[in-house]
Amino acid sequence: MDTLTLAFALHLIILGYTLGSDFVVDQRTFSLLGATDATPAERSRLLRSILVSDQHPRMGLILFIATGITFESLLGQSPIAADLLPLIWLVAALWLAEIWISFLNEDKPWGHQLVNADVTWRYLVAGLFLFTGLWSLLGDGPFDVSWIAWKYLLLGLLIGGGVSVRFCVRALRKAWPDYLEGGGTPEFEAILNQSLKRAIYITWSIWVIYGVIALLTVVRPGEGAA
Amino acid sequence: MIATDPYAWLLALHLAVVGYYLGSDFVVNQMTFYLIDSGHVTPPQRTRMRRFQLLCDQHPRMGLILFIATGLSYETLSGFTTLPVSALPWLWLIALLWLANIWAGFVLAGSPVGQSTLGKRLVRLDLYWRYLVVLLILGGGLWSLLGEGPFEPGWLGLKYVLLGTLMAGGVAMRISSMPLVPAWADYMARGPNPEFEAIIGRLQRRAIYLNWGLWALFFAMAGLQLFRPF
Repeated sequence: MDTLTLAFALHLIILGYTLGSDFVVDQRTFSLLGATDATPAERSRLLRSILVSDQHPRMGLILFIATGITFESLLGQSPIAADLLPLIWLVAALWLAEIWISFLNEDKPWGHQLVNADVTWRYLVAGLFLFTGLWSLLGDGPFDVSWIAWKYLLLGLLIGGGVSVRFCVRALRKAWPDYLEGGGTPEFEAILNQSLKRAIYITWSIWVIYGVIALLTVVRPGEGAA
Repeated sequence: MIATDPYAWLLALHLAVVGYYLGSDFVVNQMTFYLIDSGHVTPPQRTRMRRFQLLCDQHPRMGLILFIATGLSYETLSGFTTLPVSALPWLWLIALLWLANIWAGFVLAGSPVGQSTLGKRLVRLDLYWRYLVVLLILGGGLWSLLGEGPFEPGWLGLKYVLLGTLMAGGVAMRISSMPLVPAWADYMARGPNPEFEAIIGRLQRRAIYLNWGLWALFFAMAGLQLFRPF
């Protein structure tokens, strides 16, 4: 098998991995909403377990980006030359290491800073993808073919959506310590419901975007210049 | 390689389904550890947890059916099997019925109002059906490896031997977990007790280790599919 086909195959396997794991994480989020009879400590344990599961789609996104860039570069349709691919994979490996290190050390001050750095990094990546995608579609951007320009525009939206989920649960993060100390209240349940349902709806939109990106990658419409 | 022809679509779907199966099963596997470590919650809460875990387990179960259907379809279109292309709509009809059965069995056999007879029958039908599919797939794969079987390249024969082994492993997992059903009923009646914790720990850990073996088989099949070594 040639490297191009292998990169394409891995890209699609990773897509399935990301969606498959995210489907179950999404379902588990509903179980957190429904666990109103659980003690705060037990619900915290469930939340922690869901967040561990959530590392799968988070890793999936990074691997999806890396395999996608590799595939497009080997196809000769990316501004990133093939000799730069080791660098792309080094960045991906560092990003993967970072999401685990920050996840395991979130309670420490430096771990918290690392989480903030991850959010800033995602802003940068989302902004870069959105900008280069739009620029390629409307002007003389780096992507010569329209399907790749569309793909990065959508990928930028997808990453932006992922970051916005973190903002959706900000009120919940603040309310959680009080819940742990004082137990459940109707106000807390309202915050939990509002935050998580909003996050769930954004996740569903992200799945749709993943589906469109997959279609673009397989069908490659408008092979011509962007 | 990439086009809008059915071959490319089926290959893309087949690959995505490999990821879907594994990704969803990784999380379900993690939920099993969570269930084992939940000895401190009330029996109704743990029962809800178990039921929810089984609901999530529908994803890898659907993934396996779709893996077989997309794989056989694209291999048939590639001329790697003796299955005629005209048989593919039948193959997909069977896959759809199988998918419907696993859902109907799940919903009816474990409904909140109790296990219905129809649901239990559907679950048993699924088990017998798997016995048949395991035999067909293992037989077809071995026959192809050793003689003039239905799969033409050697790697495909081996893939079906591995798939048959994987399905047999899945069935073995189900059978080995059966003692959990009466133990669970006793747990609900008596409440938390060390005997039940020992049983759930032993059975679920066995299922976890078996599952890791199934993942290895999936990786091996994906490797065969991609590298086609012989």
